Amino acid sequence: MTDRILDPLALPAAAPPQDPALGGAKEASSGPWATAWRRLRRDRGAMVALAVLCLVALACAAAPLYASAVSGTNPFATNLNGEVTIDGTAQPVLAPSTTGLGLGVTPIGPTWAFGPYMLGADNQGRDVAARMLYGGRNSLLIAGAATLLTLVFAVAIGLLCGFFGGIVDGVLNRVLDVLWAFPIYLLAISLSIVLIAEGLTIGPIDIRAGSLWLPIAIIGVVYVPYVARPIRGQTLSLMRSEFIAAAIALGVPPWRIFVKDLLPNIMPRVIVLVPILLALNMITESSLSFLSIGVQPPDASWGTIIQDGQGLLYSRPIVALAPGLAVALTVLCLNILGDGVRDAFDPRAKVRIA
Amino acid sequence: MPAEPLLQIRDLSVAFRTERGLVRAVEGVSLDVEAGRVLGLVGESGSGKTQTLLSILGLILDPNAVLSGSVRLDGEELVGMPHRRLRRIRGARAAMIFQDPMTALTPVHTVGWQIVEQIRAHSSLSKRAARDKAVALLAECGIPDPARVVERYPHELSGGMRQRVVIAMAVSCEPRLIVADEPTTALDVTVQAQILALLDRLRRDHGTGIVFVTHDLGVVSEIADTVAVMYAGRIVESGPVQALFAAPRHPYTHGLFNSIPPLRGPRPARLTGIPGLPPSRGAPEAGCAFAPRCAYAFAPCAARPPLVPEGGSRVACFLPRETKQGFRRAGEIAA
Repeated sequence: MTDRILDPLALPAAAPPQDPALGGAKEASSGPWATAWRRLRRDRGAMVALAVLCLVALACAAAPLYASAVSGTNPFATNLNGEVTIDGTAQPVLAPSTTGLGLGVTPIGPTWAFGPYMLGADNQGRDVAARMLYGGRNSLLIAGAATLLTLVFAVAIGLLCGFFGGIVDGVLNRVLDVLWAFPIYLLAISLSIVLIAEGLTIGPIDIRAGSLWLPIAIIGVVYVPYVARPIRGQTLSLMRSEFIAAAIALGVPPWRIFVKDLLPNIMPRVIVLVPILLALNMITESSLSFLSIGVQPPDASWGTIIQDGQGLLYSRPIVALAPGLAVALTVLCLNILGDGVRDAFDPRAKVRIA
Repeated sequence: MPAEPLLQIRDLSVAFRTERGLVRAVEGVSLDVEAGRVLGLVGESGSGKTQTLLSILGLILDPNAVLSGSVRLDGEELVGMPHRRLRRIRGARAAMIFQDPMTALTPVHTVGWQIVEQIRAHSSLSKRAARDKAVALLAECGIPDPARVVERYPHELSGGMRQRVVIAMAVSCEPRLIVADEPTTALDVTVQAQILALLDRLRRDHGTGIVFVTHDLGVVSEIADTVAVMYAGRIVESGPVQALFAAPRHPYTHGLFNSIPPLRGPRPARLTGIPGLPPSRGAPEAGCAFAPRCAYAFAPCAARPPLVPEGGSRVACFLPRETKQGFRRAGEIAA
């Protein structure tokens, strides 16, 4: 029988070290993460977007510095009767309105100089530029924290559904269905009204009016079904893949398959969702704050500043325009980065979402 | 009383509950595999060979599957064994090799990591020792420069290399039994030969029993000691490879050999096949499942033929012995 079989060692051992299957001898081995990062670094658009995002984040981080060193005013205190010296002349921060019926006030306009009131003042005499930076801090923080919250819940639910199936899948899916049945903003508004009125304390987390946890919790919760569903689907398809079957066949215990096979394989697909979710959360946060159910005054976020600027749209449009542009720029960059990340992890996916 | 073989399957049946009733994938299959021997399980798609293989390790995870019969590994009953105990047997005493090496390795870890994990799941070796063992295993499986290959991710390796890695993983705990589901089908012919040589060497060196599923009769003739031919969930003929290849006794086996185009001589205008299609697997057929396609079908075929010993093999066919001895292989195949 065996004499017909080739000498087992002859062929493979004869293969020279530069086996084409091993690629170039010089190139270091790289896993999916390193490969994706290398691809992303070659994507110029994504790198520019990432740079802009870093700049925005840095500027926002430097908000206290700007407020004390440049604007020189407290961005959270009203300054109705203050004066500011510009080009050697003292000007009131809020001047009586000269248009229409002469009612109300017109805040000082943008000076466009790197100093106090660079972007003018709002209707309470507060430095808009300083508030923009503080607002950006909150907007970014809320979007980031809410994204984290959404991912933790969504990945947990999606993985559990896909891994266990059966009753676990059924129950969790019905919970998601309930959440999903509400339009996002309706759900967010309902939640915020209840939470603002009642408050909720979970361990160290104190959710009440004026706390940043409020918008974080609301935004974090409403998007969970939208993320959990695709992750569940991908988990199901992973569970059918042969390497999971192989792991079972090799006697790997279920929890190890969960932690060592499922989780690392699902993570690249989760990462792809991060920039998109950040952008979505950014917009949701601004919308909720604009509706006064997100960040509560005197705290600022880009959404609340847009709301402040709403009444000044004719006299001082910059107050609403500046934070609006900031949101637009950040979201644009996040989307470009998101495209890049997706391409980096799955270069074969040619489908573009317009 | 002779010692019990390494693997003893008795009257194994697998059925699936579906909307259209019970679909029987495997019916009354009995097989023996001795240590150091290779059993080739042959049949066309849907004949139940893969389900038979999966049920050995209790890997039919479909909740609608109904399993009955007995699978004994070293005298230990595996059917109905609790998952926890079954898990300690999988990979350690019986390992499986899958068909497609492209998908049988997880893409996010290096192959070395995967082999080390496998070793450490079943032994108390240190990471360092497990790693050294992984390198040694890869070398044993004919991988050049194994110390570098352990650092590689599966996508950086060719199909043949990956199948070697999969085999290295399967043999890492020196299992008594390897079940292989068409391990060479996804590979080209030269790599196929190397993999077959590797499996043959492993069973010679370690006395491993191998169950080898394939639809390729050429591969069976290369590696197997005994062959079992499956049709419609049942074994229709089984026996030593030489006897079965020299003189197939079941019309279906005969048909399979006739379907192989001759290597020498003029090429036939049309390839010979077996007319008709395998039966759909709903209600159990009363008679011989092959009868509707069989050129020799006669009245007794309305009842189910038992698998009876005949000339060293076992055959499930009512045809008179003389008719069956008349079957000869139409063309010589590779062997």
